[in-house]
Amino acid sequence: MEKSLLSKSGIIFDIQRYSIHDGPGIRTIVFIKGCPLKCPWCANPESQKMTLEIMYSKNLCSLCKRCIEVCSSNALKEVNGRIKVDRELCRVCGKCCQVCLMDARKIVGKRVTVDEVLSVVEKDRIFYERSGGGITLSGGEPLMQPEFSAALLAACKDKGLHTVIETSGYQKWELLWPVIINTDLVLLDIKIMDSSLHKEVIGVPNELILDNAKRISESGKEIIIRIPVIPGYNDSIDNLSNTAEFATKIGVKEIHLLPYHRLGESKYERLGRKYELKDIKVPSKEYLEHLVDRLQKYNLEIRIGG
Amino acid sequence: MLQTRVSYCEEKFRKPITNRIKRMREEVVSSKPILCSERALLVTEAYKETENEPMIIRRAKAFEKVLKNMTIEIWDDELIVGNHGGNGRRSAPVFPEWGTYWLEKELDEILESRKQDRFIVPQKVKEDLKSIFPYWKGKTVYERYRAMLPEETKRIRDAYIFTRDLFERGGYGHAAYDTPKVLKVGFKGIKEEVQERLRKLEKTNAKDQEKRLFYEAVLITSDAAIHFAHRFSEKAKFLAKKETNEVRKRELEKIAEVCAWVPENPARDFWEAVQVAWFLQLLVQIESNGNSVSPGRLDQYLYPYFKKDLEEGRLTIEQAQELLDCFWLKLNEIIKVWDKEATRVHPGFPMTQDVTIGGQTPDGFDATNELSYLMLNAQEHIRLQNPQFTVRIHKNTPDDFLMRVAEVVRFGTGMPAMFGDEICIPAIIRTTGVPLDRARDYRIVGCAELTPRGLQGRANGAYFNVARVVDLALNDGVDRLTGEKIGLSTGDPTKFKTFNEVIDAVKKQMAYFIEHNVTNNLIVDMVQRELTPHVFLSSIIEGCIEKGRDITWGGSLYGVTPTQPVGMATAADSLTAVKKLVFDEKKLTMAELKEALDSNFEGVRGEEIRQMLLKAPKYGNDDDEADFMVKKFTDIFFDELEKHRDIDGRPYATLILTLGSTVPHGWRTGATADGRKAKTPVSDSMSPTNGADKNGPTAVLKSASKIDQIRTMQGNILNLKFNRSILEDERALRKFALMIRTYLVDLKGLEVQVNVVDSKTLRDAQKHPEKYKDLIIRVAGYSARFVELAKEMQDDIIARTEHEAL
Ligand code: SF4
Ligand code: SF4
Repeated sequence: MEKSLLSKSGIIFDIQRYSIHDGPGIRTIVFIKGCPLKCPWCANPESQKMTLEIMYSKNLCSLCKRCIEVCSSNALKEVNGRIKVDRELCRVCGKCCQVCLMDARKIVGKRVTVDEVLSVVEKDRIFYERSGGGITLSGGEPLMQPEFSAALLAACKDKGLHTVIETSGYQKWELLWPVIINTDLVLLDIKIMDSSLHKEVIGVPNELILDNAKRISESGKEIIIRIPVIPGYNDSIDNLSNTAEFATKIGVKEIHLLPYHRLGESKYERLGRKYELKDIKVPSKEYLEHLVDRLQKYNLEIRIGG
Repeated sequence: MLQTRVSYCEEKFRKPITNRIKRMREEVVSSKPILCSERALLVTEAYKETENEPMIIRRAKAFEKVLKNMTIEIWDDELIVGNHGGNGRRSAPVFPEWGTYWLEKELDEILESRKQDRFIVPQKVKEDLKSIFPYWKGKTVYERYRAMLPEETKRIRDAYIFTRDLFERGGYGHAAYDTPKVLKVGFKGIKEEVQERLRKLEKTNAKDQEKRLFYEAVLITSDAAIHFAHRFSEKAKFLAKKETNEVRKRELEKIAEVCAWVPENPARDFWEAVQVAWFLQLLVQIESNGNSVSPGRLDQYLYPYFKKDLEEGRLTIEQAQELLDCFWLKLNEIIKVWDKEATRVHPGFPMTQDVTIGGQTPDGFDATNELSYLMLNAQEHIRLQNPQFTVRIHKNTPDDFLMRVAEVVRFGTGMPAMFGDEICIPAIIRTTGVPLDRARDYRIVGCAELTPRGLQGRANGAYFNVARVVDLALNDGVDRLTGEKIGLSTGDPTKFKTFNEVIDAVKKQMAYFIEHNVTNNLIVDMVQRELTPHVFLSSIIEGCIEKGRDITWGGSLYGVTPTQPVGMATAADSLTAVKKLVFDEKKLTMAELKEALDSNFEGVRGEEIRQMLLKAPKYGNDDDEADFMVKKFTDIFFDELEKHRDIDGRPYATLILTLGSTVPHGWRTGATADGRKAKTPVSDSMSPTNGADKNGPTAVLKSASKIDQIRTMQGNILNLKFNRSILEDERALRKFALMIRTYLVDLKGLEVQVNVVDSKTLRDAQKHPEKYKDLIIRVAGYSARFVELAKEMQDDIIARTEHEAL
């Protein structure tokens, strides 16, 4: 393997072993930091910016103020029983995290090389072999750091690992293809079929995404389309049917409906951001099954959850 | 969760719980533990009548007296009969032979009010027991043991470096008794064999005279067992006459017929075979208060009878299921009374009566059969503490069987525990030298003790606090809490120049304490030989009749004594931290460390040091730096332990199992160099320290696989915590099963058991987030540590967990 491949670096925010919902078998997920879209329901808000950030958990904090003392940028203050960071002043030096005795402060994000990631991913090889698992690149958006993702997946293929990426497909083809070429399975998020609505909700139109989907499929790569089901945003039968129709047209055989959940909500607070979807209810099992029923007529495997 | 969603095996082997079983289960669950004086009075009477006779005969006659006179019961609805005590469904008999001193202390108040394992003690029982205490003064196993203990060993034992606990004041239970033989020949056959051997003895040979006494004792206990069954037969006949419900009448008549025939004669059908299994399990537990008496591989022993009945149309699967469910419930009637100290180590009445299913035949073929599946149903139906339910997994274990196992695990009783044949069998052979076919026929006895046919474990050879041994090495043999010198002088730690000096000190302390542990065991075992031969148990253990010798005298074919290192991860992680921070990175001096530990991390500097220690690499993360130390440390323990032989000249073997002893051992252990505070629990079994493992279950399994588990021949226990969300759907469950298979088959892990985290645990995690850093909640594309979620979200997950609990 080329040495230059192994020394390529990128920014990730987590690596998680024994991941069982993101591709076949037992997998290790590498979460790439940074995302070009802005879905208001995002469950991993710490993934959105490509830069490092400080995350703070109020319920672990003892208000000992050690962090305030150590911060040479004067970025920290106690306000109403919580430690507030002035993100303008913070240089993300991480000193406050080191002195925190409660694990209440964390830096999200880390620059790592392909080699470093690989050494973690390799650790569960024996579990992949039994279960047909491997590596899944998720995020954020793996295509936000296309060179790093491409290098990482090339290195994984070189080692004989099964590779999956979870992506929204929003990237120029020239940058996207080198990543996909070493991907065995693409989990493609398609949120909204109507382009103008897509732009309104997520910030960008979707032509590029749909076009990429078609080209990936034509290249012979396996795609599973994943639709996050967000009540009031994209759960209309129209939108779902259109997605299913599109899937059939480009030769995709499987769709996963990922029900909206609010588990990410507290992370917004810890990052000092606002969660916009306060009033949305988590869809019930019955409702999801009803949606699946409505999509039965398309000759597709429809599954709830990943 | 009870509905059957997926069929992992033929639908006809999935059976729902019947109303009869539901009713009986309710009865068992609602009956409160109560003390019973009947056995104690009868044994005392028997002892008084036989004072001039040899002990082995006295033991047999005492057993006979109890069986002839104890109250017997046939409860409503039951099909398999035989009760343990005479005071209701969960009544605990008393065993004065092993010690009454604690009962004298606890009888009036403590038993009814202590923190755990409380008993109802009726006034009459109190009076009865008080009337016999004077007779037993000076005659019990415990008193004799204490009197014989060498001073130095006594000092160390009382400093609580180790405790043999129950087994210093109770009988033996960890033996692989021979159910198939009794099924095949009955006690009639055993008697014939004994009489034949008696005839062949040489009168003038001293050894043969000893044998004669043993054989005569066996004849007494065999007759007693037969007579006991006949009493049940009579009782059933009597009840049948009075019974007006025709169905129940016929059942009672059948019970009468069964008990008139077995265990005297060879079992003729499945019902009789199950009844024999129960009688054996019960009688061993009436003879002594030995713990962990285990029925063994019931799916194997009972199978020929099941198959034949099925083929001949005499039995339906439903009937077989009900009989097994009855057996499962019966196990939960057994309850023993122990002293307060023992309940700390063994909280919650763990009788650990182990039923093992699956695994291999002696020829090495897959042994899974229809009964294995029915027993999984029984576990699903009964879901109580007993049996201690285990399943053996090997490279040819069928996938649908493993899936059904995983499904039962998901119900959340932590059972079945899963054992890996690929390492268990070589471990057994390595330590005990039994032939391959016999090793393949091993069962689990108690919690984790691998026990091939014909093997007696002189369990437990002590809960041995290794965390404290390491701490003593870091403190020149001085107890950090009391300032007392209890170990060897291994040098002032502040003068240590290299990490090797630390390791040398650990080795010396380890050798010293293990030696005293072996001495302590030897004394107990000597006293048991003298005072408490286990005649009935011996009569059904391979080897004893052939040799004409009781198990207390080494009569069984094979034997082993286990010892349990307690606080393994605490000990090893402490060494990792010392090596890294003091010797490698020099961020800390030994003097600073000593001060921090002595003061229990007092002050700002103390807390800073504690944080440094906590952040050092920890076992359970698949981190070679930490795992290497665990391997090195366990090797030190194995090396020292394996140097010794027990009273029968048989090997010592490691059992990495702590039960509740992490708490009392924790109390006596000062602050440790892994960052653990003084007096808090030390680490559990072979598991990482609570909250130290942060990389998920596969990392824990990888870490554990780096220990030479072949050297834990008596077993080890690895706990994994899972929230139900990770096991919810069938695909997730399948991946879980594959992970288990990878650990047991590919990584050659010995055991793994799974705690499906319940809402109680989650609530505790809300209150004490520091203990649950590793608790992970997962959904697709997202993960979170439970403790980092907002309170409302945590509440929501708790609500979900609760909802799914049943
Ligand atoms: S150091 Fe940690 S615990 Fe202390 S105030 Fe800062 S965040 Fe809270
Ligand atoms: S990361 Fe550095 S600059 Fe930012 S708040 Fe913490 S100590 Fe201050």
